[in-house]
Amino acid sequence: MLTLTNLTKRYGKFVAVDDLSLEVRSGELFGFLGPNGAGKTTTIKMICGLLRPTSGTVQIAGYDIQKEPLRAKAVLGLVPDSPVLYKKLTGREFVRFVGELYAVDAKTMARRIDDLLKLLDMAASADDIIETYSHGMKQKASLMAALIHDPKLVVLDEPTVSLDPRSAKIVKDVLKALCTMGKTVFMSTHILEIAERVCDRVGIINKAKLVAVGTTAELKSRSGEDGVSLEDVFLELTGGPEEEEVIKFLSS
Amino acid sequence: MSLWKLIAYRFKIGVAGLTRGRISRKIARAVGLGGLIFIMVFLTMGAYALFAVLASLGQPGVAASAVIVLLTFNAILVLALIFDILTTTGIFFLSSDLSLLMAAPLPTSRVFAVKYLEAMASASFVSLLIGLPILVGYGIAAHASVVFFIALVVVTAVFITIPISVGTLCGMVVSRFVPAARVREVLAVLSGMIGLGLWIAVQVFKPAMARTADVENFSVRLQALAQGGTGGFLSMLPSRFPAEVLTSLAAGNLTRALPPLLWLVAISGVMLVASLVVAQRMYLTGWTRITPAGKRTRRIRRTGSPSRLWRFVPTVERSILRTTAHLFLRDPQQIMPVATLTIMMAILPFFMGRGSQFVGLRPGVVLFAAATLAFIGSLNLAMSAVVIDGRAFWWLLVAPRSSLRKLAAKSLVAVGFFVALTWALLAGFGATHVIGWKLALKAGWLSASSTILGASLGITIGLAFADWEWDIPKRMIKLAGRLALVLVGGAYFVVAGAVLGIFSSGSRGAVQPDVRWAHLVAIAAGSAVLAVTALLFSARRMDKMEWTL
Repeated sequence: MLTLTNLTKRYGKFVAVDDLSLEVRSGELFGFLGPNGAGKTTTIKMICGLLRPTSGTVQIAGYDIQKEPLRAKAVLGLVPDSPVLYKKLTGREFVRFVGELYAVDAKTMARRIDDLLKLLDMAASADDIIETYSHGMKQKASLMAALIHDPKLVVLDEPTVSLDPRSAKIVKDVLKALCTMGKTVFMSTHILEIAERVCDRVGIINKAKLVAVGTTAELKSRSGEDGVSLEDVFLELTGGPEEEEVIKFLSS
Repeated sequence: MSLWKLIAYRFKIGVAGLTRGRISRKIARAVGLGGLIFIMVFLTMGAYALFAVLASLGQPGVAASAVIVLLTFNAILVLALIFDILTTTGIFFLSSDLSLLMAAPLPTSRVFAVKYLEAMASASFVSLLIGLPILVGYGIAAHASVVFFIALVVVTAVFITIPISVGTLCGMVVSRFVPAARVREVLAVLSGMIGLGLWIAVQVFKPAMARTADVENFSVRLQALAQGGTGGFLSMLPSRFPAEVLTSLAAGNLTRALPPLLWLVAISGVMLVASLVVAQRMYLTGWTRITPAGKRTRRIRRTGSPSRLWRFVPTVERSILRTTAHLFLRDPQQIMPVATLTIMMAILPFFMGRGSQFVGLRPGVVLFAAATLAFIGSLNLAMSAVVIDGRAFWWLLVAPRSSLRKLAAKSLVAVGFFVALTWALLAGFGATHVIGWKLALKAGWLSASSTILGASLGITIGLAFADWEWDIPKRMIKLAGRLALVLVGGAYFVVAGAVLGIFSSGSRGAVQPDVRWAHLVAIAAGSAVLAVTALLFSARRMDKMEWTL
């Protein structure tokens, strides 16, 4: 469903994403992990056509995002890291607007909007203007807009940030349900617990390079030790201060 | 941290914001700065020319000059007051560093002092940008001594504290009753209504003025202006003191300059102390609202399916058109300038024919005015229609529709609005017999061509110079974009003037164009070619656009 081949993004001498190759299969929930500034959002922006790769290709359902952008974008839904919406529209108007951009017919749209509003617990505030929404509500409106056209691939950048535990649970359930329905989900997250529980496979990016790909069990087994968590694997691959160093710093 | 260190840090951050960044941004800022200097020099030269002409007219001219100086200080007063009320709420309640400063172990009075200085610098900038060149022009035209120019700087600096002090106090009071996040919207509506009221008042009294408007009575009118400008309400404003200081110094009379200078210093001092004490107390005791409240639920009635009238427009274009219209209509800051213009234009036909000496409008004036309104209006509205999406513009970028369709839909907002406005206006003129129907038809055709061209160029400028992270409408477009708008506007006047000149068949330079339908068709064809080229260029640019926010 999603194939990244030798994907590279440079800004002058700075390499944001370096020769990244990856394949995400249909019906898979793929977790994209990495520390801050590793290149997660840049990769997601290249997948969605918001950034042009310096080299390499992105294929969505067989369509190259650079060569056939309209076909590729038609099967894609994006939930960005910060929910930037049209603040003067209501939630319903906004989702309808996005649906119309994706040529969803009026009857299907009305039904899907009602379904999504119920599913994400947003029915009561659907006709309120977005500028009065909380961050979590905006995030949910953003998710609704990404799903309104029934995309084959859903790309999410930190979807559970700022959500209350109940909403985060709903989002995780929705993502799992999407995969059960044969959709593909590509999600970046900082929360390793979510990746461990929800994702079929995870990829870890560090300093612009993809350093590991596999199921959580595969990644844990690579460390060669028993009882390691995904967090241990993540820290081992991406580096960071050791516990002793932290204690030494705090007590100094 | 001491107050001076805090101020130094704030200054450093301000300078870094101007001098650091990508080379393209540095170039844009340098061009912007060059543009500002150009405008200031242009204003100074214009003011010098005006004051030199007035000086040559003898005593009535000198008196009229004094009135203009007084009006300049009044303008500084009003502008600084409005800008200060606007910036006070933003700087004292919404600035991003506030939580950091308030959480730091600093006395809150120190934070207040830094914010007060910030508000002063921010609010006085625009008024001084306009006011100082006029006053410098006045001094040069009056052959004033160095003392005048030193006094100009001192007097203006002292005077500006009056509106700033009052503005800060008003801002504090306003922020008590209107949530900080809504203040700008409330003020936008108020300023629009005041502007409209003034315009209507001018129109109501205009015919009486027109009857005396002949060259022979010019010196009489100057005297009337001088008497009217120095009497009544204007004489009660504190602007009279700096104006009197400067006019006395321009005349070389130092003794006469001293009393108003003392009055000015006294009033400014009292206002500053009062503002510092009272506003600080309001701010620190929490009498004002510290948080950006106003998140009250605002419910919008659901709309049904589109009416038959709109069904001929394809879904994507209709959707973008409707959304953009909502963004304008639901934000008073966006809609007020357009609404004010629309109401003015709607009333105009009823005022134009008034007055016993009214003899009708010249065809050239009608054609030029209609085309100018349509071109300049659609240029600005189309530019805003693109940038109004702000950071949400990426939803359009990821949508699987061609950039050309998206931009064409955006341009339809401006085209639809200004074609409707100019046609309604011309129909109003026709109905009230201000112009003939044949001329109205020609002007309607010409305005439609101008609208299409203006909208396409507006789209191009908006896309090229958008500041997608804008928080208030005046920051929607970068400085280079504003200059581009001025340049395109200037080019329009040059081309329109040349075209009008070519068609002019009148003698002695009178503009009496003999514009035939063949000419209008040629103009429309040329405009259409340019418009399509601009749209295609913009669509190509949008296809290649990288979204880094």
